[in-house]
Amino acid sequence: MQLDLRLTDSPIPYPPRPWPNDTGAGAVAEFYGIVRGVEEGRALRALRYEAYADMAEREIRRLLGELAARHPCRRVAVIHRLGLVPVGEAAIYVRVESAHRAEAFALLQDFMDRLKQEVPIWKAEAIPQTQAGA
Amino acid sequence: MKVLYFASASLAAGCREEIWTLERSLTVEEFWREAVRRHPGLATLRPICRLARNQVYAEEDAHFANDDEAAVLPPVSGG
Repeated sequence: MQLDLRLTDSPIPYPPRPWPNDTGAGAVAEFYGIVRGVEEGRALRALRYEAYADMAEREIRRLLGELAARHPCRRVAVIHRLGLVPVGEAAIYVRVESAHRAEAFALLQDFMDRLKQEVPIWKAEAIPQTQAGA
Repeated sequence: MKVLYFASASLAAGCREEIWTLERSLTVEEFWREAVRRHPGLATLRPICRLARNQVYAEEDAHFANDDEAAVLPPVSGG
């Protein structure tokens, strides 16, 4: 399975990728995780993400290697944004290309669940609406 | 040994990175004892933090040596 992985301080473009140049891929599942404007009842302007970048990349590769054994897919792209991410912008983008939809949905779901438990990336700070700067 | 602190652990430690000079390797228990001695604010985080050794989650029987990179990792919240 091919993996394109990027941790970046830049906004995640939309749409990030063209259709697959792969006639074996019959399904493409995409997920965007967007920063919500309200968190625990508080109005937010942005979240600041922090990562142990080298280990995060290593964990993502390990995780996808493990999941691909159960849900064989052809290609996965992961972009996780770091630093300040304003409300309404994507913090993460995942795209899975597979022969059939079942593997793509399953890998995407399992990957997001595991990422949130195992990959060393943090929402390090919630910037409220009222705070100046940032 | 390079020691890295992330997210709430860096706030508790008051730094993101420091160097420890070790005369011998440290067990997980000894690592925490030294970390809390240097930064007492880490004591409350200890029950929820995991340690990494050279960018891999450390097992309970891990040993940390002078040329290792250690990291104190609060519960993750990416995505």
